Amino acid sequence: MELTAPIQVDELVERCRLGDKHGFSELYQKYAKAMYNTSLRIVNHTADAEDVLQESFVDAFAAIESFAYKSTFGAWLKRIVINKSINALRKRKMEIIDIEKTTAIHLPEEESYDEETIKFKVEEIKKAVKDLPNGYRTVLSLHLFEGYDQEEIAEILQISHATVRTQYMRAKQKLLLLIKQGGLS
Amino acid sequence: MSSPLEKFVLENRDEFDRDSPDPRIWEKIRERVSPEMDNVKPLRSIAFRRWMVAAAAVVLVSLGSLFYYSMYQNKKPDAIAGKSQTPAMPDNNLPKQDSSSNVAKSNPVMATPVNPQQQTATIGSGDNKSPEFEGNKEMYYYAKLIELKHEELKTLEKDEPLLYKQFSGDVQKLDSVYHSLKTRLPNNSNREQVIEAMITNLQLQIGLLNRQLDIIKQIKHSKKSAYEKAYKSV
Repeated sequence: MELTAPIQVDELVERCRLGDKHGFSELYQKYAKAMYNTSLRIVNHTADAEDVLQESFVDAFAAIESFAYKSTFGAWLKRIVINKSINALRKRKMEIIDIEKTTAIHLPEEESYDEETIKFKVEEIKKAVKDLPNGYRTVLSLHLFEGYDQEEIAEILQISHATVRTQYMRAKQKLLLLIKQGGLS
Repeated sequence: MSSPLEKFVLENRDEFDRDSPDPRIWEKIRERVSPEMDNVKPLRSIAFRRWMVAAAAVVLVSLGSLFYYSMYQNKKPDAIAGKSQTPAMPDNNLPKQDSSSNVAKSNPVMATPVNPQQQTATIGSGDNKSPEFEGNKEMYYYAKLIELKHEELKTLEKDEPLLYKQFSGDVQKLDSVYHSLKTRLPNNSNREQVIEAMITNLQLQIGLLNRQLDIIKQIKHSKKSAYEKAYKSV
């Protein structure tokens, strides 16, 4: 999500900074849905995702004066949403990723599902994501849906690159398994 | 890492964002941030006002000096010359004589060619060795400096687009005064004063640019800490 190209001045953001109240409403309309879905995939709970959405926008609007175009506004907002989602998840479910526990979920290292043979459907993937354990779901979401790379995910979750890598591989295997099982049943 | 699953998600990315939040969420946000919404403008204005006062002062001073100069220029022959000093002298020569003696003290190079005949001659021929030549050198130096500062300021355009617009607008005001002085120069009987005013104008521009750069640096610094605070606290 690091952008090397110079970031265009966001007209909406500038309008908000100048005190245009409609600007805030437009910013919300523009980003609310994507941010809500991002949060929902992590917290896996509609009420929590709505709380995260609300808190994130309130914080972002309060800090809009200090937004400095180090990333796009959307990327900045998304980081706020993700951090809040992870905190919400931690609050609700204690710890998010416990390496010992997740490795205990028995998944043979070598076994892999042949993705080529699976006919993917959006709804099936969504359902399978919901059924993933919290830790897997978070790592998978951050990479698969939000496009963060390993390094960024490691930073967000405060875990090592190696852990991100293995967690992602396992999460994906588990997801494929769930999709297959879902398809069968 | 681009497996079929990843490709599929990428191609159908929008399909995964189909859930909608409760419409009442916006109402809640609006209620909570309305104080901030109201605050945005005044906060900004205070920051703006502070430097605007400084910039306006600079612009006023330069405009004032221009007006003073042109008044002085127009009235001198009848009003000032008639009032006191050397009424015996022909009107046209008075300002030149006055200023040439001043310039002679401060700038020996400029002093030599300043006598009425020679000066009119140089205007006609466009000779480089006219009194403005020395001034030109000085002006060239300042213009170069201003150019550099402009470039420095321009690099801040991305971070502070609104401020940059204001700032460059102010510098442009001064610059237009400079140019109007410049157009007066060729057919002005009081060249040294015009040149002096032009140089003062350039110095003011530099002063203004320096001040603007300082302000932007300060804002950047405070923004950076506020931004990082907001980013890390979430």
